[in-house]
Amino acid sequence: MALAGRPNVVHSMKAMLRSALPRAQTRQSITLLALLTLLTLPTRAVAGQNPTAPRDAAPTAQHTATLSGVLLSDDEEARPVRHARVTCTAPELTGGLSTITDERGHFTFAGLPAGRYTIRATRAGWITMAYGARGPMRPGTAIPLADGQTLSIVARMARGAVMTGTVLDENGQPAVNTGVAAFKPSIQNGERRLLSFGVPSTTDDRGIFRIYGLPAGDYIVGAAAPSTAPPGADIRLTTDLDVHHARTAGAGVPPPPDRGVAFASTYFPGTPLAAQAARITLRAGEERSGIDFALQLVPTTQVDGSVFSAEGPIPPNTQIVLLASGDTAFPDSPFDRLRTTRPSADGTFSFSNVSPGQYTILARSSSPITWASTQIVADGDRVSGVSLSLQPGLVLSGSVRFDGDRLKPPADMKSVRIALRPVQAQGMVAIAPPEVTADANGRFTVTGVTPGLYRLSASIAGPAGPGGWLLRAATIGRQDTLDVPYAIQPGQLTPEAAIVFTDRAASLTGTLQNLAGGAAAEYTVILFPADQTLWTPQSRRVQGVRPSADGTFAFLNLVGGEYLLAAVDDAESGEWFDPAFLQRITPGALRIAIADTEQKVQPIRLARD
Amino acid sequence: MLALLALVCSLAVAAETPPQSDAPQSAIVSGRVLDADTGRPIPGALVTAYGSAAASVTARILTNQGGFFVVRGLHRGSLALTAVKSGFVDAAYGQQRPAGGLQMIAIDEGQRLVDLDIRIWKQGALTGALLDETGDPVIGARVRAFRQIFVAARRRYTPAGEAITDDRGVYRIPHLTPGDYIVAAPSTQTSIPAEIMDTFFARTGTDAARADLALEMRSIDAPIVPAGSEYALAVGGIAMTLPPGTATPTSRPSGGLLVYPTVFYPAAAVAAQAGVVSLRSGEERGSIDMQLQPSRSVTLSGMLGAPAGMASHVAVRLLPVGGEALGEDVATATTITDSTGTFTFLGVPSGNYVLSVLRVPRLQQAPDDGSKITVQAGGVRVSTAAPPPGPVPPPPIPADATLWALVPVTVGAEDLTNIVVPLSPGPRMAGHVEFDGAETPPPPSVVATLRISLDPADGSAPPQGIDYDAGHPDETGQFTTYGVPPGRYLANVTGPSIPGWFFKGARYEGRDIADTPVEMTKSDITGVVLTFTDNPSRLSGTVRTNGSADPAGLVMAFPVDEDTWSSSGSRPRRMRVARADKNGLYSFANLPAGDYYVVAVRDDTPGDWWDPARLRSLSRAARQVHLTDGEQKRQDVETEARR
Repeated sequence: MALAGRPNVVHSMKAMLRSALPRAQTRQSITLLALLTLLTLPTRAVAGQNPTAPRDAAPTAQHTATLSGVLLSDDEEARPVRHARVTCTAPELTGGLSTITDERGHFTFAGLPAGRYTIRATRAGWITMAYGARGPMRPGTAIPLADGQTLSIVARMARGAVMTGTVLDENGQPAVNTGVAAFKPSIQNGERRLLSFGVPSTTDDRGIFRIYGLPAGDYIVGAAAPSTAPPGADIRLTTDLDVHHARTAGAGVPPPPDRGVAFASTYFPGTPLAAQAARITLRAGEERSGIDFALQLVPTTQVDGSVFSAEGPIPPNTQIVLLASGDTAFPDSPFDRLRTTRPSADGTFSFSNVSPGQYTILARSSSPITWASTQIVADGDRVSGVSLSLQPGLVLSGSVRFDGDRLKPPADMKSVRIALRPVQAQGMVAIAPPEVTADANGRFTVTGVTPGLYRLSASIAGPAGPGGWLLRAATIGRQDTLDVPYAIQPGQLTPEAAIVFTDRAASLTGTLQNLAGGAAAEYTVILFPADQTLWTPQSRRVQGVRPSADGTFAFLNLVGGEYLLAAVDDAESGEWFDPAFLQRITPGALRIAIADTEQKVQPIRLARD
Repeated sequence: MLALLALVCSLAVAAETPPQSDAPQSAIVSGRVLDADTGRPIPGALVTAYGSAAASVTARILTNQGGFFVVRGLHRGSLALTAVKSGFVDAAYGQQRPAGGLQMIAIDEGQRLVDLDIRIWKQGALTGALLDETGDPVIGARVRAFRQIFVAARRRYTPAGEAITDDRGVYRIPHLTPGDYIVAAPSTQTSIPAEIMDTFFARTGTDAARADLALEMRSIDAPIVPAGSEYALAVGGIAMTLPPGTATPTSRPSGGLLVYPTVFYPAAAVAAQAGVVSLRSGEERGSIDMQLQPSRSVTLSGMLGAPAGMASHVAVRLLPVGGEALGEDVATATTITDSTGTFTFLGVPSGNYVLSVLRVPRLQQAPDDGSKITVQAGGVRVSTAAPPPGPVPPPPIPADATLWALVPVTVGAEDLTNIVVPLSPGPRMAGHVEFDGAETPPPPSVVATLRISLDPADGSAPPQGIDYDAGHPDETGQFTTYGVPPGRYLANVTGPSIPGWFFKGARYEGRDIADTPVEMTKSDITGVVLTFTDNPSRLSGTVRTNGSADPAGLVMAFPVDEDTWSSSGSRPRRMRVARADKNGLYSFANLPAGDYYVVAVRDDTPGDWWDPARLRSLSRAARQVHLTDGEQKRQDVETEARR
């Protein structure tokens, strides 16, 4: 995992107390520092308003603050960046605000309620940057604004780097109209995967591509299999045998076998596997040329199979889906090889022209809901006898409850939409059951569920503003799936589900100070559960924030529990969902208990050893 | 490619139906794909077989290192071969020039034809840079090329290619055939009421209402993006979408927005003033540079007047006067009315416009039958459904009227508010379908697959949202179309062909409104009879040059009455071309009765077949042919040199 080599600095009180920490644990650039809790200030539950982090923009909120600034290029000349898009968000705002910088790089947001504001700048060809972030893809710092306050900031952004090259086909001729993208491992939905950066390019008539807007870093470059044919359309390569047969063979001489081919997705310098691609290290703002490589033709596979049902004939609306799994799909576009078909009346189906790789074949009928799934590997040889046995879909029922003392529950329970989301290992695919709405009594039923790991979720129709209803729990049986996904098993009765909305969330606010008592705004504060079984991707209990310039930080919308709090000097947004990362920062973290609905204030101080 | 395919399809339709028997000996054809200029074989070209002979051929063939292809599994019938290779103009067997007429190949059972070489021409390309007023590159912006064509004797421009500028502002539009082009950096200011955007993000309203809204937004290419984000500015309750590219609107100190309007190469505001770039075969033309200039703009707002509920959530377009040759493709501004029927265009530069509204009745959304499979991988979900087996019957034509408005608007330096735009119902056409012949009429289920089109006689695009399917008959052959904006229309039948039957004409008040436009004004037109015949006419013969058959000839047939050229619509039945086959034989099937000029030309230089000046010049050397209903006529023609 990528923590090695990344300058993470972990601070902890315990580390300070154990100043003779073995060097082995502080290898490379990772230095353990100390975080000193100001024990003289007792932690206290605050029921009221925190002046720097208002809980709700109540109807009484004033709209009198102004945030303005200038956007400068992040280089020595520091020139104004004109015509950039600047967005402004805050928990106190419903939706966001955006504006365009003028000729001098200036921007202004006026009429703001007091709150903690995040500013982000984007411009084509430049690297999107959050104000105060330590780099691209990193969290920015919030800007606290009081009622009536006028604040001016200087934000910076940098021009992206460029990669260009030529893609050829198997005959050494330009591969035209081929999508080329630069990939870098990064965090999405709490998981590290290859993500496309910069503006992907399509090769022109000379085979030339140009990817721009890239942050500095290590990349691999891949060309997606060109879609010279509609999916599933056979392409047959003419062989010398074919030509010989056509020109000279007598009538009745059987023709040579057809050779189905497709272009394979190819990575620089010429491999079909992302794992074998060469790493290209880009410096900030660099223009790198000569990324030249060639596409390969690969033999395709005919996949034949049949679908059947133990109940008798297969339902008439049965459909079969073939899609790439594992490393076969092009990064960042998991559905680039999605194919759909219907079986014939006897249940047989086939997919021709399937490129090499691992695939999942799914079958589903809608009335009644049945499903089946299997995996295959295509390697150019015919795959036949694929057998899919339709199973009845499972059912999950439950109810929605609103547990609040401040807000009225929605008048119409039917405005609540419930989604049961599959949670998958990387590279796997699953059928997602359709979203459902609650009935007037708050009851809901999700049908056609296939076995697997799931997280239950719900949302209310209407604008999501500050101080609204929050999802407190989404349990299946006794397990809250917002914390740990639930495994729905075949052949077992799934227990009752319960969704609870609340209008009272806990929060943790405080100030991060350095040893001298000044604001330690350059760090990132990470809050995560003490219980390691809750370290799941996108867990609501794992959060990272940057303190503002004055050192204040705020974790909002928390649920009660035992937490650990740590500060690191740099982290990519979402990196904190990685259990290995949390493991590393645990030794230096501070333990904090937060009660449900508690408004906790926890000032903390760093100390270097 | 589209034009080429259309030609291939129409030829395939005109040809005899293939024998369906399982013949023991399928035919095989082979040949090479060759660079037309150098004769060099082209490996890696994709060859596709069309036509009745290729009905059972599904594979596309990739040429080998020697440029060879082999197509097996052919049966008796006619065959067209196309070749596609990146860097070259899409080609077809028998072409004498890029995008020229293709030649059909007659195939016999068990036949071997091994020297069918397909010539393929290098494409042209247009490149240049797009800069803003300070010389900064405009990054990520769309540049489009339009090719000049003649439709209904009028010069029009059809989309021919487009490209996105890179970080240097450089664009490159490849894959162009020789011809005359205009190039534009189009800019449409799209303003959507924030309440509409919120509908999607806050999931308010019913699913059906959101689906209707999404369709309406798609009709003006409006993205669904949150107001107050990097994708849309929020200006006074309106979300002004920010298209890709840096040429985004900025506010000016005195208030209002500075926008970058559409620019046509070299520096024109409307298509009518654009410079024409002539591209030769294989030519790469550089330095087609354009500079965007910011323009002060105003807000234009008002209200649609329509029966209750019909004015809400309707797309409104602001089209520049002088852009007619591009159709509605490049609007200056677009918006959608809010729930009260109020519309607001932000960012309108001064100029003369036509405000255009066409509210096509909304179809009942099919309820979600759960037949879609939602698949999740890598945190992304996709819903998919296999196409249903068999043809899907078209939804019934709604009883609601089509509402329309076309209002000229002159925009100056001041905001325009309180514009009242009354919507009027458009007239419909009604009638029935008749089958006139000795053959057994097709069964009702087949009759119901027909599609009726109302094609504007001046060759402009049919009304958006109605397109080429203005109506369809029921199983008894009765039909009523959607309402259309008033104008001169031609009634035609599109959709699947019925074996053995051919569309003959549309009778209305004693004339054939398939060829002579009918004026549709306020009231509906009823009693139209669409007639099919089982005895189509055929005009055929041999193309000769210096006394011998000319397999390279192209025969054109067009009406003697020159006045009809300009009212023949976008798909004229009486203006046709046919390519001679290898024996010099040509044939026009189902040409309507009338007086025609028939002339053979050499199809080896670029240019538009239907340029009226050219037709006039050709007519002097042409044969005049009188054709009656169902007549089988022979007329040999001599190839004329181009002039």
